[in-house]
Amino acid sequence: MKISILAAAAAVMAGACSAQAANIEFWYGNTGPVETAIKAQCDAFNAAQSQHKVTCVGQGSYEVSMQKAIAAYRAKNHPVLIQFFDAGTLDLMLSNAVVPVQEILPDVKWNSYIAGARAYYETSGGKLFAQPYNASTLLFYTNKTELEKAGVTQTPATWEEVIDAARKLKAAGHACPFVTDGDTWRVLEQFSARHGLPIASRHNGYDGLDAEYVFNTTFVAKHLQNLVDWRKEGLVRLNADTKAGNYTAAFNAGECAMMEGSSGSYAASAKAFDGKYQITVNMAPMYKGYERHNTLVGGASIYVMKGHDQAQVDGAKAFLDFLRKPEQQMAFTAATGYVPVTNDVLDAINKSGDAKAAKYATAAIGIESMNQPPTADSRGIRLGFYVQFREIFMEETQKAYAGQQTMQVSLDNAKKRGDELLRRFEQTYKGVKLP
Amino acid sequence: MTSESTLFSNRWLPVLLVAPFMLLIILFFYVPIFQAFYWSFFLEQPFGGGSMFVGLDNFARVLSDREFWQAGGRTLVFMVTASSLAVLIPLILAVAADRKIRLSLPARNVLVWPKGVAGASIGVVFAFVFNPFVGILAPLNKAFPGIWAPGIDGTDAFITLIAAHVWSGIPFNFVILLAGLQSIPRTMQQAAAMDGAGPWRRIFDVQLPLIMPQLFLTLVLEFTESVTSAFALIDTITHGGPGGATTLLVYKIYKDGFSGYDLSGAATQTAILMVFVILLTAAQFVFLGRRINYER
Amino acid sequence: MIENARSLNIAASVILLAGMLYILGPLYLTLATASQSYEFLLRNGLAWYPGDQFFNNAARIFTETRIPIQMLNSLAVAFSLAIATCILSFLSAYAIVYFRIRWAGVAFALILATIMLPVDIRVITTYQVASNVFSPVNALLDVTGLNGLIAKAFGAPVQLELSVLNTHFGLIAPLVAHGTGTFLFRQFFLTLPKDLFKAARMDGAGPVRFMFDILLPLSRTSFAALFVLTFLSGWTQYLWPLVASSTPDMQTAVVGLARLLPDSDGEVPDFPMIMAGAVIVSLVPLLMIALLQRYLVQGLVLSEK
Repeated sequence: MKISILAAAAAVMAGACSAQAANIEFWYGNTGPVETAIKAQCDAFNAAQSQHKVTCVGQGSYEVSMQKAIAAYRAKNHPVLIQFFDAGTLDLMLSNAVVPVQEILPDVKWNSYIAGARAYYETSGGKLFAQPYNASTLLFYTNKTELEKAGVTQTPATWEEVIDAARKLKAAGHACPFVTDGDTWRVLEQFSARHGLPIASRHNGYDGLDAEYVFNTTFVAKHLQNLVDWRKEGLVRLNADTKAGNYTAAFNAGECAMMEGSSGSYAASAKAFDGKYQITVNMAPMYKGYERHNTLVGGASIYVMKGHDQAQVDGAKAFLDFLRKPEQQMAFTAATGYVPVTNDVLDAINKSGDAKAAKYATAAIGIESMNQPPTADSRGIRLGFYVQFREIFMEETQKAYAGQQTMQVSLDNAKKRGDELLRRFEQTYKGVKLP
Repeated sequence: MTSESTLFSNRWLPVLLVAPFMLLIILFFYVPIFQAFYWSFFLEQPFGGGSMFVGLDNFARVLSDREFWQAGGRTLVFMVTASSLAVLIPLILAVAADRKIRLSLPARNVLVWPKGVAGASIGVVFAFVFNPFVGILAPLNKAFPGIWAPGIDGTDAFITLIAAHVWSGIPFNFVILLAGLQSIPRTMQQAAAMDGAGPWRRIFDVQLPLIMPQLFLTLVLEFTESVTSAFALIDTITHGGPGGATTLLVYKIYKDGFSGYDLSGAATQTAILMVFVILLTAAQFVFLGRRINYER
Repeated sequence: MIENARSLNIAASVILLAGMLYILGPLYLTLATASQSYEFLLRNGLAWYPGDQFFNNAARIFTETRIPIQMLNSLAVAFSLAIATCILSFLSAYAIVYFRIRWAGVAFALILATIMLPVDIRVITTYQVASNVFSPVNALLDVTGLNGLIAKAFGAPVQLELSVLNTHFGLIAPLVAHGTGTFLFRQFFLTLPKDLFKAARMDGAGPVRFMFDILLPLSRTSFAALFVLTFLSGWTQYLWPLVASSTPDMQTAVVGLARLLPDSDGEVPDFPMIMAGAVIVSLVPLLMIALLQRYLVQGLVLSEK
């Protein structure tokens, strides 16, 4: 009798202890140096405490990670934490598969998150759905050495100045003054956001599922037409025009002198320039006469999936708290070039005395770019089947660059196809309320 | 078939023998096919939250989608050009290798090698070899800038795909056609020679007609396979671009389903594609098969 | 003796030379590039002559990428696929040909139909099935209303889950569901003389003994041919291993090689290393072809009949 009571007591105690401890799984999509940094954070979490253990699994890319997550969720063997990229936001919000982080972590100072990052991932009621993790934004990089060789002494700040510099470079014999890959995030989303232009009605979908694309009627259409014309003039080069085949590779090799790129490319560029060229990094250029607004946050954030017991959720919360710590964000920023997501980290960097170091170069600029005054259209994108839209945009604009059709036709086509996607998305989620 | 006395009469042993295979086939072939057709009648939410019955709406939408038909058109173009080249070139090679010349034996050995180099590896290699700046056509590009630009010109990208596809298709078709040629009795050739037919005439009037069965087989297999086999090449060389010029139907379905999370659309397109392939195979057997003279 | 046709033979030689050049060209360029260094590539582009860096690049494949593990995966997948296909095809062909059963035709038709639609066409839904192999059972129980009864009796409906994604079994299973092997064996069995069967029967051999003692030894060449064909096919699969494996450690070598091409990185791809990878990944199948070419050719010819 006694033995069994003791045994039962031991079992209850063991049960109670293990109910707190949990083995949680976290799926992410990055590769390369970012993956190394993520794995380092996972190891640091496991080493810092013994209650929970996190297993971080790399899926190879954001898209693959999302697709595996979908399959896993349908089969009910999904992890509790998954990293999803910006384009998948609406799919996730309506999926009923996610628990908003502000719900399970109500006491966190969510207002310390920078405005640009918050706005993208919060509900219409201001509740944060996912915890921003690896944030990037669009910055403007130049090869100062090459520019000075062509007689450009001041780094361009407006598009007019950029093209002026490009003309000087071309006159000096430079084959590739400005390079871009025409990527939707860079030339459409970020451009529209900082110029205060909407991409779709209903404030880019924030206000309802009945949004429609409008970018083919805003100023961005003129800018894209400019890109086509400038390319013909030899001032702007695309990926396929470069020897390196890739815009960042071409910039890093010194083949091209200016580019718009993610803050995340800084580390590789600085390393490639070391000793050879001087690099400058500033906020993305604006057209004269336009007020500068915030750029959008790119990268990904972490979602907590439904369907797990309390122990798992506790483990997830602990991991999320760990990642939010300023030291962790600083280490991550230094290793990857991603921008910190909370305002207190910037103070911590300044206090650390390392503020001028190359590894933090993008932190201040990136945060400044994302903290510019917002408009109702620069919060983010809340549109359905958006990943497919990005591809459609690339496909149609590529035809314009190849001369098969005018840019306006391309944009009109992209709008038409995008609207079809939006209507089908609306139908798929009929009756579901937008959070 | 075999007559009564040459068969075993156990009732349950054959069931046992076939069962495991049948189970695998049902689970991994017929169920997915059924599910593709099933999903094409619904609007499926990616995370499985709910699905709405929409009847034939998906089909109506897909069949009126310009992109679908363009991808289908590209697939047809690829099928016809790449498949005919993948049969024609091995045919010429086989006829050449059938002759008693010194190069025949080493050629027969070498021409089988591509079979071991997988589609994706070929893709990686050809992407590099046909690179406009560092590949074999680079000198041409230096002389006439922009003449070869698979990153911008859709036709150039398409050509790269076809070249890679033909390269990987040579061994299989070459071996079959050569075997067919070698099984023609020498007496036939000698008889034709005695009748005064020169060597060129003999090729066209004796050899080619007699390997019609093999030609037919390779053509059928090539057509069916080219619908799907280009995927590895597209994914490694062109990624469906530029401007969608190399987005064949199989690639589009993959992108819609796995990148766009449009499960219903992808399933509908799969269903349509499956019907097309079945009809194509059936048509080939009915129309072309009848004309083949199997008599020797 | 047929007359000497010089012009024709010269034309034939030229054609064969061109063909061999077309085949060997990319292979040579791969090897040449794989033996140069990354700096050489950045300066000169395509390598027309080999360098001395091959073993360096090859070593980096082993230390910097997951290709070694992935090659083991490829080996496991190709090997088990070939074995499974051989065994299952043999057994099913045997059952269809040598037994007096009414459903032989139906079974054969069902199996043969699998040739028409390769995995690449049905990848979307095969993926869904693989993520839960019990989903058809669940669906069946739901549709027939049985689940409702079970729920009432036991408190909860039956909702089995078993995912074979990211497992070796899942990588192989849809590829095994292919009827070429059965077709091959059936054709082969039909060419065997009927007296063989009658003699065995008169000796009192039952179906099992017949299969083991007589049929199996006779089918050796068919086995070899099918094995080689299926092994090569399993090694070179791309789309299915791409979607069915969630982690790089479960991917096959071919997929891993393609993933070495960075999508959008700040660097020119390290082509020498990638080409070295292509060489290494292709070594196993090329070796197979070199050693077993006889069987491969026989297999290709047999499948035509």
